[in-house]
Amino acid sequence: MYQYDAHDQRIVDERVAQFRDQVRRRLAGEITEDEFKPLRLQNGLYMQLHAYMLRVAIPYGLLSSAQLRGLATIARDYDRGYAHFTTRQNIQYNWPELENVPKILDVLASVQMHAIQTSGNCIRNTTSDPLAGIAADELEDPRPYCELIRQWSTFHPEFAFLPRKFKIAVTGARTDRAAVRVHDIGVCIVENDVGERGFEILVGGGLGRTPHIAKQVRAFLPYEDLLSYLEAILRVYNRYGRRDNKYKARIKIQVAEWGVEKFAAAVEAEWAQIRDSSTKLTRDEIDRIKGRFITPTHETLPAEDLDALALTTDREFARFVKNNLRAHRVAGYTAAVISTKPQGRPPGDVSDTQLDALADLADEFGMGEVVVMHDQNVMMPNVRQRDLRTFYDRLTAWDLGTANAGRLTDQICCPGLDFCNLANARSIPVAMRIAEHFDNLDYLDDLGDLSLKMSGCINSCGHHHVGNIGILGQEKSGSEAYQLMLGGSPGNDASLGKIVGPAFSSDDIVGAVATVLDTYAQQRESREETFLDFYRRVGLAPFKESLYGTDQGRRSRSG
Amino acid sequence: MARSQGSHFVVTANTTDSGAPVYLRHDRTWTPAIADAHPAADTQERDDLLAFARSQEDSVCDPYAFKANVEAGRVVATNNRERIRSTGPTTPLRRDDGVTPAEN
Repeated sequence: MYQYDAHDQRIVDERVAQFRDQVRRRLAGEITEDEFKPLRLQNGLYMQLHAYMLRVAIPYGLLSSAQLRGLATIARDYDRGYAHFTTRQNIQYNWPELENVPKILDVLASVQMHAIQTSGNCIRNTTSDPLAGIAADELEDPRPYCELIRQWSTFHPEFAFLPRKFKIAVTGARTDRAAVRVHDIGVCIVENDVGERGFEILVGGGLGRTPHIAKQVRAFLPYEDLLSYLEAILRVYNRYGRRDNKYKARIKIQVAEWGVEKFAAAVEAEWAQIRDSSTKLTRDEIDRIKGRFITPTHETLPAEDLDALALTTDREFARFVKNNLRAHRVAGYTAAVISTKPQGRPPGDVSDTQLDALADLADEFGMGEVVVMHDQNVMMPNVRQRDLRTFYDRLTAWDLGTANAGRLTDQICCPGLDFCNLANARSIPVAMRIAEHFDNLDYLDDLGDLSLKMSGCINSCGHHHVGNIGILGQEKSGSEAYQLMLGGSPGNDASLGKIVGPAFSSDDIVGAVATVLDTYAQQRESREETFLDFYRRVGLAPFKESLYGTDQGRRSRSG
Repeated sequence: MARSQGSHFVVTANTTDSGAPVYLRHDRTWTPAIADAHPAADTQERDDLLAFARSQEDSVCDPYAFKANVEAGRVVATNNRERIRSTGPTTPLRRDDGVTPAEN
């Protein structure tokens, strides 16, 4: 956990004081909404369908127990008793009143948090691998580099008004769990042929209206050049990125229109001029940042037999062990995924009491830390394996023990038309009907690893393009319709889903998902063949056949 | 005021203090109930109401007009967005964790 220094705290405290005065002036009628809007957006305050929405930054998803309690206090005292984890490791409050927002920011600042740059055309929160710091396949913990990027990008005067928002993800592991290939910039810690540590830089990924997989612009960047190289990329984008059309203003469009070779050449030319500027990192500076992280100290423990635990007669606990645990590089420890997606609950929502409970559980079982995952779950990264049974019992007492991590009902789902000003269709009710329909966890276990991701509009906050099964909500002739796509993946083998055929009505979309799953279950070569492997082997054809018939008939579709 | 059946325009905004949706009444006050909104019969009346709403930007934000129907004398939204905006989310709000802190 990074600990603010005096500069960090002062920056945040001063921003709270500034925004308090701006809110006072707005409520007093001294400034108009047009004048206030850019100020509130710079502090993460949106206007949604029913109320303001405040998005709080969680740098690289990492939260201390004290921060969890701060978030619980905000939910209880200034919202409606709950909060919502987002698909970029942040948290949102859906019902704050304007006069209370400065008080909320006070609470955040008291636990070294803020809402700065969670909106607007600026560099947003840097995301990372939820297993950062504990993954066995990790070359180096990426979070100090994320923190460096946070400090470099916060209030960066040159990049406060980019053509569009800008998102960076960093991973230090060989397995990409941070979806770096669908970010504006993806940073991967790598080693070169002589064993030196540096970064592979990917640019131009993104979802939204025009999805793209990021392309490599540099295979190896020396570690000391990280910030100057990012600055060069941002400069090329800021200068030449399109501002004439909001839908063509992301860097992915620039990279696609220019071609990656031309884009990379422009970056290299810019970089040559600034490489040795003040942004050049030194080992001392990196060590200084690393030194501000309080790193958990692990005990020397024997490894427990988790395979035996997974065979215990308590089937739900066994299922939790099998589905929700992730390997930890220290013997005797495990990382546990805490699902926010039990049946009957909106994915990503947690109550104030659950946030407090997570804080208590983190202190008792997890060395005081949790990580918010981009799939809207929470990970407890440092659980002693010998404590698992007690830990699980405590989770289930708080309705936090659902053993569906990585299964169909572990859905990513945006807020959709129930909350969002941009949405065209609801997504949460569909996700809840899917969770209700597929309530047989034995069946879900039989289907194996499978991701379902759903967005209520083309902006793709629900990452539907990279779901093995993706659902896109639309409005057609005044009715909600849902387009089904298959074959997406956000990892090392990133791929974009393909639309399987005409959209389905709200009434028919759950049945369509069932048909897709039945098609896979009946035609896979073996239980070892995952849904994604099956799709990549057979393509859309068998799904089209089972969904629409051989004539691509118009059964079960809305138009 | 009598309300004719059929298609009309309603002027709406979000309040500055809470962001809650509000609708313009015939007497040019704001109401949280869409049913009580004034249904403007034509674009001229709509534009007049919008101009008034824009003069109210101390108390409301970003006014706009949308199409609505009058049914049995009450204004109802004709599209999903305004229907949900006028009635609230269709999903459960606070997640019921099923227990109180005292039980844990």
